[in-house]
Amino acid sequence: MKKIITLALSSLLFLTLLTGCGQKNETPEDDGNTLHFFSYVLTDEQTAAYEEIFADFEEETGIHVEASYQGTWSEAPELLNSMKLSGTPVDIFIQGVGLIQSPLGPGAMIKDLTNIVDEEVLNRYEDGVLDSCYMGDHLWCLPMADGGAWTIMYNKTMFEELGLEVPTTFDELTEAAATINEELGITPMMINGKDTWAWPGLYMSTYAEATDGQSVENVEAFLNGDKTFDGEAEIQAFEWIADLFDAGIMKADSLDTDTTGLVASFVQERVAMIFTLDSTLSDIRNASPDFEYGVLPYPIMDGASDYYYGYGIGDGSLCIPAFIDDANLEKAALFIEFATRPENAEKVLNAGGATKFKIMKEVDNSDDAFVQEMNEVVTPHAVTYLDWIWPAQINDAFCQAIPALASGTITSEEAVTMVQNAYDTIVRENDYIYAWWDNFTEEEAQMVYPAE
Amino acid sequence: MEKIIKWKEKYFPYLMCAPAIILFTMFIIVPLITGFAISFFSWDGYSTMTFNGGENYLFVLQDEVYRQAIGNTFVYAIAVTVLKNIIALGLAFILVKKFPLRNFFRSGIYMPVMMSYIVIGILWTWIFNPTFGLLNAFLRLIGLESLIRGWLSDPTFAMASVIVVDVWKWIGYHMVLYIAGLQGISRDYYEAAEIDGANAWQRFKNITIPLLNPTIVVNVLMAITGGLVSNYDIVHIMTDGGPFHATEVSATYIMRTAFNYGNMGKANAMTMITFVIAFIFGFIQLRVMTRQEREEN
Repeated sequence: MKKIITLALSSLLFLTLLTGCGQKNETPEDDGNTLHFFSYVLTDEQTAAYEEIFADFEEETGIHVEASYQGTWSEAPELLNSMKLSGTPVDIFIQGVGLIQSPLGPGAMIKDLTNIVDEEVLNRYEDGVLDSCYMGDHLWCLPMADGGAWTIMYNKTMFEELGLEVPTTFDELTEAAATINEELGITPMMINGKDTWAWPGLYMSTYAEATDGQSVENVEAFLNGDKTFDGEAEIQAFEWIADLFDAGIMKADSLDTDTTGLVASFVQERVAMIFTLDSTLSDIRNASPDFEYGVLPYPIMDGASDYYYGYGIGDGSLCIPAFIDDANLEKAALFIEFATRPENAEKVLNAGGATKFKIMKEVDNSDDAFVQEMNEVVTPHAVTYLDWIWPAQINDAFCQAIPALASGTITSEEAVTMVQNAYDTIVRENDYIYAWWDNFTEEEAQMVYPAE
Repeated sequence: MEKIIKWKEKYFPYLMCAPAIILFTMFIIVPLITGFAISFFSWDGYSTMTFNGGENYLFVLQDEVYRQAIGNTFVYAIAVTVLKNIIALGLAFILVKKFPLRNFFRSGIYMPVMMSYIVIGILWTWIFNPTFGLLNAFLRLIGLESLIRGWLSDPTFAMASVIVVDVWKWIGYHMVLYIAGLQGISRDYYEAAEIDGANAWQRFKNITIPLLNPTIVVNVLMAITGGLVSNYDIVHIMTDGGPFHATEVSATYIMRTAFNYGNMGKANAMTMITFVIAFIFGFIQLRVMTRQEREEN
C-alpha cells in the first residue's frame, strides 16, 4: 500500500510539474471579434489609459481588446517570440525603435505599416517625429510615449553661489569645473557609468560635434560598409570624451555610479552637474522637490561649431507583429487609427504627467519651466540616438571602450579599433546587413510586407 | 498472484525512478542535445536557422573575449573555492567549541546564505560605491585614503571585489558542513594522539584532515561547480562583466551573446565548450580527491 501511495504521489508531483509546459490551444472568448494586445509592463497610469482606450474602442467598433502585459521593455522581443512559437495570438504590440532596428526588424517579427496606416494618421504627428520610425522608407511603428534626450543638468543654486556663468564651450566648462573643485572639493560632473549603456550618450554628442551634425549619416555609412570607423572624426570624438576626464571635469567615480547614485549625488550636492537622460528628472523631483536645476548646452569642443545631444521619439510605439492572423489585420489598423486620435493618444501620452516633448500636433506637452528650458536648449540641437541605429554588438563595443578610455586603459585609436572589430565580427559571424528590410527570405517578406 | 508480485518487484523500482528520469531528460538532456544541434546553425533566435557546419566553434575559438571569460571563470572558481573552504574551516574550528554567544555567531555567519544574489549584489554595490560607499568611508575614517579606489570600476580590483562578495555569502554554508564533519570525529582519536605526544599540527594533519576528507570533497566540489557555472547572478548584478571585460565570466558572455547579440548558434557553441571544460575539470578533481578512498576499496 505504501508503495502505491508513494508512486501515486510522485506521479502527481511529476504531472504538476509538467502542467507548466502546457499551452492553451484556444483563447477564451475569442469569437473572431477580439484583438490581442501585448505590451511589456507599463506604468499603472499608462495601463489605465490603454484600458480606457480599449473600452472606448469596443464601444465604437464592437471589437474587444484582450490585453496582456508581461516582462520588461528589453524582454518583450523574447516574449513576443515565445508567443509566436507557441501560437499565442498577438495583433498589436508596444515596442521601441531601438529594438525594432535590432532584433525585431531583422528577425522578421514586425509588419511594415507603410500601406496599413493612412496619411491622416501620419499627419497627427509633429513634423520629424516619425523620422525614427521609418527604416528603409518603410514605416514600422507609431509613437505613443514621450521622447527622451541626453542632457547636462546643473545645480543652479550652486552655480549662483559660486558666481559661475553658464558654460558653453569646453574651456568655459573646464574653468567652471576648476572653481567647483577648488571651492567645494566635489566632483564637477558625473555620469551613471556603472550602467554601461549610459556611455554611448557622451559619444552621441562628441561624434555629432566632430561631424558637424552628420553623426547619423556617418554611422549609417559605416554600418552599410561604405566607410570604416577609424577616421579623424571617430578618433576625435573619443578624444573629446577623454578630455572631460583629463581636464578634471569628470572623475573616476563616474565609473562606479549607477542612476540611483547619480541622482543621490546630485540632490545631496556632492556633484554639480550630471550627464543624464531626461527621464532622471522624475527621480530628482521625487528625491528633492525643491532642488533647483537647469539644463546646460553640451560644451562646444575646440574646433567644433555647434553642440548636440542624443535624442529620440519612438519608445512605447504601436506595432503590428508580422505573424498576425491576416483576418485581424484590418481590425489592427482600425485600432491604430482609433488610438492615435488626439483625444485618445493624449490619455497615454500624458499618463502620469504631460509629455516633455511635443509628439502630436493636437496634444500639448508640459509647460513646466524646466521642460521649456530643456526644449529650448536640447531640441534644436538634437541628433537621433545612435544606439537606435547601430546593433547591440557595436553598442557594447562603445560601452566597453569609453570607460576604458576614461580610466586610461586604452587610447582613442584603440577605441575606434574596438568598434571596427565589433562590426567586422558581426559581418563575419552574423552575416550582418544594415538594410535588413531588403534582406528577407521570400517567406519572411510575405509575412512582413502586407499584400497591396 | 505470484506473477503480479514478481512483476511489481521487477518493475516497481523503474516506475519509482521514472518521474525523475523523465524530468531530467526533459530539462537537462533534451536542452543539451538541442543546444548542441543549434551550435551548428547561424540563428538570431527569430528568423530562419541556417546550417553553418562547425563555423560557430571556430568563431568561439577566435573570440578573444570568450578566452578571457574562460580564464576569468577559472580564476573566479579557484579563488572562491580556496577562500570559502579555508575561511569556513577556520570558522568551523572556532565555532565547534562551546563558548557564550556561539549560536549567535553561527546564525550571523549563516545569514547571507539565505539572501538572494540580487539583494546581496545591490547591497555590496552600495558598500563599494565610491561616493557613498561604506568601504571608502571607513578607509577615509581610519586614515587610509591611499587605499580608496573604485572597487568595481578598477579592472585590477573588480574581480577580487566580486569574489569577496561570493565568499562572504557562502562561507556560512560551508562552515555548517565543516562543523557537522568535525562533530562527527570521535574525541578518542585526539586523546590517543595526545597520549602518544602528538602536537596540535600533527593532530590536525593526521586525524582531522583524513577523517574530514569526505566533507572536504563535498565542500570543494560544491564550491568549484558553483564557481564555474553558478556565477552569473552575482557578476551580472555587480559588474555585468565589466569594466573592460575584467569580470566577464563564461556565463555572462554566453547570455550576452545569445540574448543581446542575437547569436544563438555561437552562444550554444560556447556553452558546449564550457560544459566540456567544466566536465573534464570536475572529473579530474573528483578522481584526485577520492583517490585514497578508491585505493582503500
